[in-house]
Amino acid sequence: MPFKKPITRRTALAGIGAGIAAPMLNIRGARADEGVVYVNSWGGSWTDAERKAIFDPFTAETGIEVVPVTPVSIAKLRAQVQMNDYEWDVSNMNPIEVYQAEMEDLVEPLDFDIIDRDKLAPNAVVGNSLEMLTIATALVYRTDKFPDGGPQSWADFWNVERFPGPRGLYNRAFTNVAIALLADGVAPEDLYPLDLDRAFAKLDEIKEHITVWWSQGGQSEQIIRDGEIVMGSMWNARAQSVIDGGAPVKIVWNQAEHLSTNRFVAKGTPRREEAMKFMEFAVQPKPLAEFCDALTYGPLNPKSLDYLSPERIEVMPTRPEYQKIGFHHDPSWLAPRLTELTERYNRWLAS
Amino acid sequence: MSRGVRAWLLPSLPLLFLVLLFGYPVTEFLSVAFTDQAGPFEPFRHIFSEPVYRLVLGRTITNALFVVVVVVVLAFPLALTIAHGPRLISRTLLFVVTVSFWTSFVVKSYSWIIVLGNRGPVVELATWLGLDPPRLLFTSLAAVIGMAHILVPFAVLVLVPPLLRIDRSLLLAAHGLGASRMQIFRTIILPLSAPGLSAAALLSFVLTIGYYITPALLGTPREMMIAQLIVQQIEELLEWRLAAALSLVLLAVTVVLSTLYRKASAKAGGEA
Repeated sequence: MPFKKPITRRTALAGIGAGIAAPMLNIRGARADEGVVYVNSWGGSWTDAERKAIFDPFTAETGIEVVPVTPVSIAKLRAQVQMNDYEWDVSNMNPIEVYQAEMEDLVEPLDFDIIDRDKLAPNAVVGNSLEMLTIATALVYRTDKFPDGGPQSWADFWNVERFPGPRGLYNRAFTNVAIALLADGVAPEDLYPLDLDRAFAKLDEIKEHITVWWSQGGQSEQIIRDGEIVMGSMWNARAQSVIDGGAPVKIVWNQAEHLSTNRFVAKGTPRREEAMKFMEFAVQPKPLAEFCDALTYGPLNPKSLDYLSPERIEVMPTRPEYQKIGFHHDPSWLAPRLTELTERYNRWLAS
Repeated sequence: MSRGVRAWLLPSLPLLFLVLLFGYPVTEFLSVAFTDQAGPFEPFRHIFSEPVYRLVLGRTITNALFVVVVVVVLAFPLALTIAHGPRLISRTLLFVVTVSFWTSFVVKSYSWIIVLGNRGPVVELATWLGLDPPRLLFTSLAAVIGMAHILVPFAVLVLVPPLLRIDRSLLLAAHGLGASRMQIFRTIILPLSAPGLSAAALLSFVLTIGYYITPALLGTPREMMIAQLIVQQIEELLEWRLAAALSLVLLAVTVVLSTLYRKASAKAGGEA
């Protein structure tokens, strides 16, 4: 073997160096590749469902590979747009965050030369984002603690004499301010502009009865499953997973917060074309239905309902009966006031 | 090569590493605080006029002081036994402390969720004894327990070397002259271990004041610490100027408090 060189310490080192460097070079190579799109995703069961229902069928149809990137972070999105160095191309966020992103100029305009408008649901386009699904943050209670009937509204949640027991709330300023106003008798359609003085006065009444201010989905499941709270606010799919696990828990759809998740393309990404193609595919009836079927979030493409069983639709926030009794936020009012509101909420919470 | 140059040669690489990978990005981030269009000090004015920041900063300092007391009280007897106790016990303790030191603080924080949770041993024991199950998880007590648990091994490892330097013959002489155990502790061990105690306390304080994960996992947002506010400014509100200004204030508070503390303990040491 004439070409075989003896292995010296130097060649061995070079080999090790190449071994370490090669995968990094590969990543760079893959990122310049035209056949890839990077999608920001929540990880866990969310990404698993996304891969099966949306990513793999998209790759099968277009040949474009989808790589999920976690965690979802608007701060990272801003950093990557500012640095012009993209870790992902497609984001998914709630409309208030989308509004923040639009204010910060982080959103690439939708390109209707690539996205076929006729393939979208009538109300799918919101600014430069496409509506994907709705997450309900609903009142949830333990049926075993209230054998004679549980709370049916946020006013009942506030009624600690009739429905005693420790409570939990999702620690998000705008959600809690809104449900306080509903508990105080404000009609869902009259919520905005939010009367913050009234809301915080109402929140004062319930503060001492909230034993857990939860921030992670898993935490909310644990406290209701283990009976640390008798009622609380919860994302509907998290509550459903507790119910499916056999816990005596019920979702109250009345006055649930409906907050959509929208997809948009990161401003200035070099993979803009692939990203736009992905955007169109991700809101098509069938892949969206399959994704929502796995997690019980509500698809915002009405045609998706054709692919879902009636039993499954019954536990989704987009069931027409639930949509009528839920409430929505006004991102254009909320997003510019988010810092102010959060500071006031933090001050209220900490004192 | 002159001695001066040679003396710099060895630390030059780590120094470069620190300046490039730590000093530069941190300065770059902190300088964001001064980029507000309304004036370079606008974020600072805002921090000092909005009460929530003073409230949370004050609470962070109080919490940190509380953690320091718990850590020192727990670490001192451990370190003393490791330094002067019977060989077998000393070795075993050192082993346990080192293993705890090596364990990731994220793992430790999650373990406390299990221990303090509603189905954990503490609540089970209370229920078995017929007591009202105490609320532990997601309280500031849980956060203090979690932070102190992480810091005890640090403090022990800082305390052991000065304790080892205490001359055993001093203890024997005191004993021989009829001093009680309490007297030996008060007049010999405590003054001689003061520098170690002071270093352990300062280290615990500086580390606690910037804690994020542990209070976020175990504590309650009602008792949030300053790092949680900073993360919220960056992640949710995109207020990077405010976040940078808050970080600078935190840094300034840390520097001022630790300087005062070092001066005070040097003075106390000088008088002793």
